[in-house]
Formats: sequence, C-alpha cells, structure tokens
Amino acid sequence: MNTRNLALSGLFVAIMLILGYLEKVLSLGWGYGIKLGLSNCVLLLCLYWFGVGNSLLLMVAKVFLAALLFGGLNAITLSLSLGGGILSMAGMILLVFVVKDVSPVGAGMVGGVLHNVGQLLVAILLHRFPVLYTYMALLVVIGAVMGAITGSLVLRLKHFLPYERRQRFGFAGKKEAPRTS
Amino acid sequence: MKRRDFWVFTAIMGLVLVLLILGRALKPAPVEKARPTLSVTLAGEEVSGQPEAANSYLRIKQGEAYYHLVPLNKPGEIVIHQEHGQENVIHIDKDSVVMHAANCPNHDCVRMGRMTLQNIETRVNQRWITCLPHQLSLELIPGDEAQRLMEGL
Repeated sequence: MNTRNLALSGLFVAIMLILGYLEKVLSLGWGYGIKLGLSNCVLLLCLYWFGVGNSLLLMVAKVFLAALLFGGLNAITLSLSLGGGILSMAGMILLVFVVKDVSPVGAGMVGGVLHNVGQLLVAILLHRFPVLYTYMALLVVIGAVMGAITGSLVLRLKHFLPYERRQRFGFAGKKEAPRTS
Repeated sequence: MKRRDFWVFTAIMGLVLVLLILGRALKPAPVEKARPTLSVTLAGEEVSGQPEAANSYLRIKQGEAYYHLVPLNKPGEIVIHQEHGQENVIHIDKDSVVMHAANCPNHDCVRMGRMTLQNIETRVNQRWITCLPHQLSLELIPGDEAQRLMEGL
C-alpha cells in the first residue's frame, strides 16, 4: 500500500463514521431496523479503488470505531454490525471480482440485502430473535432499495477512481487517455 | 445497467416472494414450553403461578429466562430492570401491549408501536415486540394457547 492509498483509507473511514453518525442523528431509521446505510456506498467504492483486503480492513475499522464513538461497545451491537458487514462485503466481493459484469447498482443492492440478512441471521442464531418471514421479506426489500440508492451514488463517483482501476472494471471511456500525474 | 444486474434483481425479488409465501403459509410457531422463573410486579402485586383469566396473555422473555404469564385484562405498567441499568417500561391494557419507554441505544422496540390481539395477524413483527440490545422480547399469546401452555407446565 502506498502513502496515497493509506491517506485515502483514513479519509474513507472518517467519511463512513460521519455518514453513520448523521444517519443516527437525523434518525433516518424508522424503527424495525430500517436505515439508508450510506457507509455501504463508501465500502463499495473502496472495493473498486483498493481491492478486497484493504476494504475488509476498513469495514472492520469502521465497525469498531463507530461502536467506540457512538456507544454500542457491547457484544450484541458489535456482533450485529460485524455479521451484517461481513456478509454484505462477501456478497459485493463475489459480484465485483468473481461474477464481474455487474454494475455498482447491482453490487450495492446485493450488499444492502445481505447486510440485513446477516444482521437477522446473527439476531436469530445468536440472540434468539423470533423467526419472522414477513419481517425478513420487508428487510430484503428495504435492503435492495437502499442498496440501489447507494450503488447509484457509486456510479456517480466512479470517475474519481484512478485510471487503471477504471480500466479494470470497464468504467473508463474509450477515448480517454491515461492521466499523467 | 449491465446484463447480470437483471439476474441480481430477479434473485432478490425471488427471495422476497419466497419469504412472503413462507410468512403466509407458516403460522407462528406454537409457543415453546418453558418453565417461567421470573415474576413481574403489576399494580403492587407480584404476578406468578396461575394468572387471572383473560382473553390474552403477555409472555416476557429476557435472555433465556421466561417471566410468568401476565394476564392482559386491565391497564397497567411493568418495568423490567436489568443489572447494568437497562430499563424497559411496558404498558399493558386489555388485549394490548406497547413498549412505552426504554433506555436502549436504538429504541426500535418503542417504535414498534402497540400490539393488540387484533393486529398481530397483520403486523410485520407479528406477535412480538423485541428489544434486541436488552435481549428482551414480548410475546402476545392468545388465551387458548396460553391455557394449553399453563396446563402443560
């Protein structure tokens, strides 16, 4: 990892924390565990920018720092966020690096859905939350809608990626020349 | 949008459909038989053993432990304290339960609103109000089911 990426990683973690805090303060949660999940958009962008390893590190850093800063440094909250984060990252990694030929919107949708699924699985398996299929269906729909929103944000932000990354994921325009900086 | 996005979308919709069908087809699992070990105080009296007759009952579960069934036949307030200062205030009325207040971080349980004997068929969370951070769940049990539960104990 070069210095530039290291600095960017720190910046991304900070952005995720701020976005997470804003969502909490503005109370974009309407109960039932529904929220926008804007930090998912940053993580998806990180996947395109840095690749798998660094993005996973950033996810773990975000989970622990958010717990430390905004309260929730307890086993239940941590296990829920980690469960959601890991499953959602796994899904997005699968789509972006293995399946390929999926746009950020598709990857974001899967990320959003799997985040909710992961949290529910942890809640059911570890914390004996009752199994409610209608509630799961609601969470999957919400995850898909929110994921599509965050995914389309990444679609708007993809021009900030370094040229070789854009080329790799097919985001680069045909006539564009490599940036010489 | 790329070609495989369509399949992603289809897969998600398929998952939703399956879950909705499962939700329609499967009734809530019958109550687990469990020996209640804790009791709550309602209007100065401790609720334990054989509760008064009522149309419906409230079963509170904290962690792995069950409280004695609370008959839902008159208004009242139940406060559940836990050792690290966690507190949940439950208000009950005839055949209805609501989480009035809680000091958990997200307050999802308070937002879940009032659960009544009538709306548990259509509520998203069916007959549960859950406070995940406090590992507390409230279950509204119809009278006949509660009767079977009490006889089995």
